[in-house]
Amino acid sequence: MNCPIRTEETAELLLAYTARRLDPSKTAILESHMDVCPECAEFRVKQELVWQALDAWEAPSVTSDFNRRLYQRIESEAAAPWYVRLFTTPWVVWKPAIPLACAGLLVVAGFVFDHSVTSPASPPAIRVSVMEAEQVENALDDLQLLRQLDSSTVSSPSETM
Amino acid sequence: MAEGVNTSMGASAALDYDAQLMLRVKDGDGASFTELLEKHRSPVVHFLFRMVQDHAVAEELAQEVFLRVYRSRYTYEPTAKFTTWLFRIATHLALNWLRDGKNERGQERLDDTTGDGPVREVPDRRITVEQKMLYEVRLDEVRRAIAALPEKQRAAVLMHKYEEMEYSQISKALDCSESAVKSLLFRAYETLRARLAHMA
Repeated sequence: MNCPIRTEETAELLLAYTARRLDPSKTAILESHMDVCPECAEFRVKQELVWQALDAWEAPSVTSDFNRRLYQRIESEAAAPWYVRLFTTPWVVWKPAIPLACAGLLVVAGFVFDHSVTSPASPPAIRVSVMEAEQVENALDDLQLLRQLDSSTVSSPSETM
Repeated sequence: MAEGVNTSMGASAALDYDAQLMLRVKDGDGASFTELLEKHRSPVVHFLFRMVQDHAVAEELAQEVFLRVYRSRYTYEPTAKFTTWLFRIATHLALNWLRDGKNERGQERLDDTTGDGPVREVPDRRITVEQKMLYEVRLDEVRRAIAALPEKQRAAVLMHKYEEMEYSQISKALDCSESAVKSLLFRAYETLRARLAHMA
């Protein structure tokens, strides 16, 4: 058997062994290995000391009014106005609304963008109508000139002959 | 992160009694929530106490853990073991508290050697004064050794040693890969062996 402490991956075998979480077959193999491997034997001794030290560290018991305080908080949250509860709601509740909100934002943005593009086109449209009026005026002038020329030629045919 | 755990554990989650209780809470059964609270209150408070090393803060954070569990009842999906989800919330809150620098008071208490506080209680009252002093010195060394570990290593060791959680569960609670958890534990225990080996 290869020495487990040589690699990080296989060292978990020794950790599991010292935590008594290794299955019996692997335990037997490891124990026979530790009989001949001083490095692993030392690892076991030191790791067992760590376990013992950690076992000695007892956490204090929970205070007797823990549940009462928790239920009080739950009740006060339930009694809070809807806009306060809105902020305490887990974000996962809002998860389905996110794509919908994004779609809405896109529509609004598209609408605003579309209007901002079309609005500068209005002045040229006015200019076109002004130009058209000028063209009509010119055309009318030309017609009047032609009429005048026409009448002058009709009134004096002998002069031309 | 209250906060679904989006990892599929399929059949094992289906057999998880706590997950079934949580589904009953989802259906409006308050008694099931009480049952979950009774079962997991102490492990959560103890884990948080060892993380932040302040009993009052640990209880406050534990309250927040169960409050988040209750708030998440309608969106709960049993995609992972209930305890994994619970300790994921607890770890997240503890790491946030530690990173926010709220632990200054706790560190002061750690340096305080007056001998008060619940952690210094000695279980066996028949021991001599000398033994009690030795016990307290050793306990203080353990606390300092754990406090000196990087936050994620600390959380991994506490879940592995005291909650007897598997690598897969710890990886989900810490949001990292199993190999990363093995590496965290290997380095953490290496540090602890170096610091605590003389306590033989």
